[in-house]
Amino acid sequence: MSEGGTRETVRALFDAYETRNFDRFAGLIHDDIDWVIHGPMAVFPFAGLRRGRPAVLQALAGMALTYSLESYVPDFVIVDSDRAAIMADVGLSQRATGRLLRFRVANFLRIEDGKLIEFREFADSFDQVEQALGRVVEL
Amino acid sequence: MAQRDPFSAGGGGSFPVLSEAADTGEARRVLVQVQDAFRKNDYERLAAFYHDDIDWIFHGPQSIFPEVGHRRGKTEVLKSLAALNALYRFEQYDTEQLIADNSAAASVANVHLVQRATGRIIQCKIASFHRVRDGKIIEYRGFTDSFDAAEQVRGREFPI
Repeated sequence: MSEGGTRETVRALFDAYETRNFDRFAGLIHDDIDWVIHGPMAVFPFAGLRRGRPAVLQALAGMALTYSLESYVPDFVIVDSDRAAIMADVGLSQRATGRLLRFRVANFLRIEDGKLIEFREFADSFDQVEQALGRVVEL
Repeated sequence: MAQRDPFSAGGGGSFPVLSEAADTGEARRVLVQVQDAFRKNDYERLAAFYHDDIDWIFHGPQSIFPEVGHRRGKTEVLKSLAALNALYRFEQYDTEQLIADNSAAASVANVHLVQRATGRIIQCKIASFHRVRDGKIIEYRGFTDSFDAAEQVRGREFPI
């Protein structure tokens, strides 16, 4: 896939995500997607490995039950052939408490046939856990 | 001033455009060299690829990893790497993916570290973003699943 095509798909994905357009976002997910959010599933049940579009959409629906997206501000985007890497500042509101989690994420994407087929997300998960629990983790 | 579109060619956003003169592929070449030096524990060679004014952040808990965090300048970064090397031996650094444009490169690597004090093996993936200027890294941001890494370092699960 051309870099231009990759860039347009990535832009469409994040526009849909940022505007909470779930149907549009879902339409850009490949049936055979391989998706990993690296983080502890004990605290973030939607994290971990998901294979296939239904599993990813289920994880996203699970995330939406507990958190609402307040902001997603990408400030570093690299596109190279069918892959892209993005760094962004994210704000999530925890629905049960109203607590606002703020953190930086690194997203790695691969695009195939104009759809997202591979996704990896990294963040300082220790800090995310402490923000989600609202206390320091006992070491 | 008009806000820069981070999805336009060349990235941008709050990251300054650092090198208009960088030739195509420079960032990839530098990163391949840096990762090779890292893999071989060749810190002298590694040091040559860090810009004197590097802005370096590895995101992680200071309570577990006091060697990481925000460092400014080559001297401070090298001190951090030396401190890490004193505690951990890098056994494996395999690049899983490398994404690059003219002046920036990002990668995901599978890393195995041995904690020198215990012999414990810590396995993690490290995601890295680099900005390159004049053939050297001027900006670095590193990420890992730090909760998992911290549990491996302590050798037990944390109560949550």
